[in-house]
Amino acid sequence: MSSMDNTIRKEWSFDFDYSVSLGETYTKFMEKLREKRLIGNKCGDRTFFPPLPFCSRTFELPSEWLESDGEGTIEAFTINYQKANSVAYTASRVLPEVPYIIGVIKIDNSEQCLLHFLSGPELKNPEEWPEKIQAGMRVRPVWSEERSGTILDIKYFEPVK
Amino acid sequence: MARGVAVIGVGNTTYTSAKRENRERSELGRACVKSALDFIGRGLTLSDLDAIYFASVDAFEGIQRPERSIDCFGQSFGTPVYSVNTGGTAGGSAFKDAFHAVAAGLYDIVLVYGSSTTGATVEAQQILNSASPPLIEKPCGAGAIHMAAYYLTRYQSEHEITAEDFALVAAKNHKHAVNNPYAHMRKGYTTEEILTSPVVCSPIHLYELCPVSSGSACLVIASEDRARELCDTPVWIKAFGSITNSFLVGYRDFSGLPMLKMLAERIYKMAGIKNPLEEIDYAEVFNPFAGFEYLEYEALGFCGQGEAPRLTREGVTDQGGKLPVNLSGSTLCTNSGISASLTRHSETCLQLMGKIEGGRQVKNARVGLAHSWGGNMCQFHTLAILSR
Repeated sequence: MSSMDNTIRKEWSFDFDYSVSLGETYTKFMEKLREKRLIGNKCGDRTFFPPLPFCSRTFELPSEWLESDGEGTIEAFTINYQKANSVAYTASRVLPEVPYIIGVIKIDNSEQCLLHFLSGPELKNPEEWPEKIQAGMRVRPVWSEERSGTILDIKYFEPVK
Repeated sequence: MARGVAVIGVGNTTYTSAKRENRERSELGRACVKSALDFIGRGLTLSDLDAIYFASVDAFEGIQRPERSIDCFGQSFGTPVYSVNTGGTAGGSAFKDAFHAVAAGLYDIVLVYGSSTTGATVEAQQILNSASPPLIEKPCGAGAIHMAAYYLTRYQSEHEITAEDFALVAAKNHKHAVNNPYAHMRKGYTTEEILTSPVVCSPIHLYELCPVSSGSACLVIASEDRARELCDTPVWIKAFGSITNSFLVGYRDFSGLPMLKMLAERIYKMAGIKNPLEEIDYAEVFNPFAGFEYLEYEALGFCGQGEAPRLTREGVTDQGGKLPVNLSGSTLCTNSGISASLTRHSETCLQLMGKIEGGRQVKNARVGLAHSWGGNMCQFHTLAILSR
């Protein structure tokens, strides 16, 4: 420990801006989201929703595009009780009011999962969530009214009755 | 044939919260390295170091290439400096790379420095969240704690693990941190206090979550000849390896830690370990979220799937048990970013050297295990088997 209790503090910040191309695979995926369509692809004998630019096992490029109605299964989830502040999470303005649920969703026939919000009329009451939300639960996407070609064109996933 | 390599010195600073830190980064660096040189004694000086392996993550420190910024890392003696960055794993990774360099005969005496990474941050989560996959995962609010929570809710649903089970292992860490002079959170929270602390993201309570700490750690390693000459209690590196997982979290299987299991199998084979619970005397595992200690017990083969809470309940992994784990309070109680992945190794070395303070010394510990992970949530693991 420094022998001085009250050393002076100096603050600074970096304002870095970034812009990247989404490339072919994610561009097509995002464009279709705008049309309320969820596409994936096939690499070797495995299928992926969302699509992958290539298979990391076979190192092959995808052989075909696939489409899904977006129904799937909850693999894991968390109920977020603490609001993210705007410093910690610059996109915090797009987050729902707390508490909210983020799920890990395995779209049917996909080898990988999608992370997204869980919500809907069935899940109005947060008191019921710890009982209601279980791994293995069936869900489907609910689309945003306004879509701009991002993953948030899906508003959330809701339970399938 | 590679040479024998041993840890001959451990350096530490005290730890505090990032917000209360009153030491400048080079003051911390100097104090930490000096404590390692004093630990070794025998006239060893900065000029005797053949290379420096520096572990950090640039964005956390607020300066590009932070290894350049402290004038005891090679600047005065023309010593080569290597920067290793595997996110939170980097302390383990830098140690592993330094070990390989000495084993290969490149250098005789090397310093590994685990930087006080999060000490400069105003809001550490701001940087942590920038590690999430930006195109399809980060927009849905997935930060480090959410990714951690997925593994733990999955573990709960597969094995009927309760909130009490998680609190129990958190309490074990808090209890021992009280007696660790190098721990940051030394509050000794009990199971009851942990269970009544707020849930941040289910199932993780506030006291099952690491603090943002400031402080640094270092190790000095040496080739077999130099180690015997400079140290009465060298700790030999028997096996050391690392493994890599996907960047997209959605690509992972949240059922346990299969990559760590695969790594453990490789490392145990290298070290000739057949029954880890019987053959390992002390372990430090990486647990910024307390429940991960259970996933790690199972991946490391200390017990079967879903059996880890029983080991804790029966005291098997507590002081006096068959395989004490994390008697430092581990990452749960002290997480200054990258140095927290090196303190898993430094604590294990101190246990094997018989130099642990605070009544936490394990008697006759001969074989130790040290583990770290990071990247974005278990993207990388490192695992070391150390022995006296």
